[in-house]
Amino acid sequence: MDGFLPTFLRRRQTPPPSAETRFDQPANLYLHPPRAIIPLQDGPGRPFQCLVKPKEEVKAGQKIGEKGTSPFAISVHAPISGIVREIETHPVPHGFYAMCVVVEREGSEDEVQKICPVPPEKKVETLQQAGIPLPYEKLAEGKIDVLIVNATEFEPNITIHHNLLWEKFPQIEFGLNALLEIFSIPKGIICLEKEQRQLWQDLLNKVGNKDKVIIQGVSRSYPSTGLNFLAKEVQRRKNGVAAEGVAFVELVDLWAVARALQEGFPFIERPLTVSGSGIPQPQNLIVRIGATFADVIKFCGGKIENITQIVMGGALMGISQPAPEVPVGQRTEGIWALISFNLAKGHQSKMYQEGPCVRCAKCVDSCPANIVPNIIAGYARKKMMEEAIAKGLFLCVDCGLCSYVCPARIPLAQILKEAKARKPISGEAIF
Amino acid sequence: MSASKDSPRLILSSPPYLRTGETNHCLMFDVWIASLPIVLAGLYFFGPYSLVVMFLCIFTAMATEAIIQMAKTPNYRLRPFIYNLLTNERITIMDGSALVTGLLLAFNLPPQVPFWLPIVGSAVAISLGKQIFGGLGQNIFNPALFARAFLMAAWPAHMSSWVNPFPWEKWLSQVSWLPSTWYYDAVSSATPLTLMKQQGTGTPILDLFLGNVGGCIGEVSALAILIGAAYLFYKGTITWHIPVPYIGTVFVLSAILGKDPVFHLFAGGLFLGAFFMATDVVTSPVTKQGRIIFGVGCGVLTVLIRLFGSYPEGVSYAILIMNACTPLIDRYTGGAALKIAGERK
Repeated sequence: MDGFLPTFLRRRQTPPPSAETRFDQPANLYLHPPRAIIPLQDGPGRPFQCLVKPKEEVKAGQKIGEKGTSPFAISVHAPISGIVREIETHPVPHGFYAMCVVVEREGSEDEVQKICPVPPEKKVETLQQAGIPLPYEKLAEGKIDVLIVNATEFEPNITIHHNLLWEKFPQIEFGLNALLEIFSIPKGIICLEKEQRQLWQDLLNKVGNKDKVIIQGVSRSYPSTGLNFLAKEVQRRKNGVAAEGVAFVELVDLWAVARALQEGFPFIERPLTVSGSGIPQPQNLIVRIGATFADVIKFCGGKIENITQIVMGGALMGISQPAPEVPVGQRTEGIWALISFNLAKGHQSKMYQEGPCVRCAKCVDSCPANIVPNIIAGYARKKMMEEAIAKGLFLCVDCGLCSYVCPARIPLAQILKEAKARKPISGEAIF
Repeated sequence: MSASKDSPRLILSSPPYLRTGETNHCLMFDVWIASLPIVLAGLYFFGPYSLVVMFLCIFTAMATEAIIQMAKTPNYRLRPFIYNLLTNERITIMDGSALVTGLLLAFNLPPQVPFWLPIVGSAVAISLGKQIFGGLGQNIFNPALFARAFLMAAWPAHMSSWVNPFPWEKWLSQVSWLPSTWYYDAVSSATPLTLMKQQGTGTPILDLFLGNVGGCIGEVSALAILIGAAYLFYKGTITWHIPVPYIGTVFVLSAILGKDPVFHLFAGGLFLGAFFMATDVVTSPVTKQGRIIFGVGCGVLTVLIRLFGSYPEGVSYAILIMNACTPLIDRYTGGAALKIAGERK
């Protein structure tokens, strides 16, 4: 009978729509971190070119590096004024170590160096100099029919899209219109959840050019990896490649575009949501890029000594961090800091341990990719990789909803992720 | 989950970091809670003996499961049973699945069965219907329906002796503390479907809806079943994908074949089968298309057995046959998204 109580106490099956749980206050500012760490690498690719040396003095907004190759190169800026302390390997939030420029604050001046004025016909170069990571190559081809902005909140603990649209909609509309004009795209679509009715109505009243900028409600929230499914729903295409003629832009980028074109401000600030059981005051913050997670958590009243888990991103798809001294990046949507305790194996409740799959199909019903996670995970555990791939293993978008809803508490998302990193036939790990 | 190298306090684990508070137990206890109105309806229409049948079914089911799990545990240590129940991971009778199997089997028995029939039935349901395949989540047939089919084959006379609804006033006036007065000699009758099949006489729809007819303990009252099903829908334990196509198919097909569709909807065990038996999660397909195919298949088979077979009632056999098809349905559905995968290569 030990399951009788949770039958009444359990939570809902889907993550709560963020429209209900949004934090109502406007975003606070956190622009004075004592030090900033700027990684010289985005992923496991080629590191950026570095333009500064240790012990050199830099100003906020000064260009200190360049990423990418020549026609599509993007500048990297120093987020605070101070002295370059060192250039060394440092943990970065994507789960690896990279060369980083560490800038320590000197003095209290807070003047951001504007990006060099560029003639108005060369607006693309302005955006690149401002360091905005747009898909320039795809946009420059000129085959794009529609620009889609995913403003749905997939993560239950992140409300930053809602906050941006609520507070800064004029700037976002300006940014979207500017992008449409620069790359000569006929229309742009901002996608909201249908449940965010109040915001939707509000934006419909605010939007100026209703032929170009369309506010569309979609039936569910989409993860950032599942944008093809968003395009499929928005364009109502049943089969075929949904993302043909479509470019996706992050909402934060639109804000940055507006600031770069209106004020000449580089992309060194971004809003993010700080929440979790380790944060006394969950809130939306506008943070200088490069501030460490530890500093941000301290600013929100959390105590680093007590926190047992720090996650970059949301509670469903985020990356667990090895150390609190990892920097906020341009793509850090939120910080989720937890105080939790784990019991030893023999002391855990029998009920909340992994059990047999009863084929309840909750994972199937919640999967945005329309695959069958429980059957694929069964194949993957038996190393039957061909069958798993035939069932659509590589369509998985790592959204984590299957693990979230699983009543047998099987780590489905983890099994699928591991299986995707294995060789298809033999089932051996690649690395 | 492991502590990280840089900061030994911080936990590194795989996402998601959030879980619903739901466990397998919740699914089972939801079915149990949803069957409370049916238990009450059975008690009202068939008297106190129906409670005895239900108790015997549940007790035997749990006892059988406990004995089999003890026998399967290597190096089982003889200790007080409660202690083993709380600590031994292999003894899982408290997860509620045996409870649900026993109760659903009791719903499928006639009200005046001899006392040993539910005992044999639940022992068969748990041992041959479930544990022989490897326990929870592994069985191919719904254990309760498997046991019902077994009892129908072994003791057909006991399994098709129906009685009229219980006269509470008469019984209350005769009952006293003497055990000999507890017994009530019930008036035997026939189920609406048998009447329809053999004599061609119908039954008033209101009686069918409320349950004032002869039949199995759990299947007579459509009202009680609908209340329970509403709870299951509210909790999200079952989805519409199986019951709605099932009932819809029976309705449409019986209308096409020239019978009274409303009568076939409310007579017999269609509602119990559609909401409580066919939706058994272990033995139904996982994909949405597969579940709809499963429901339609159940409906077609039910109508065919009812109208053209020798049995008056076909719900249990229809669901058992479709249970056997479930792996096949799962194999050929759920590939809707794979077209895109082919293009990606």
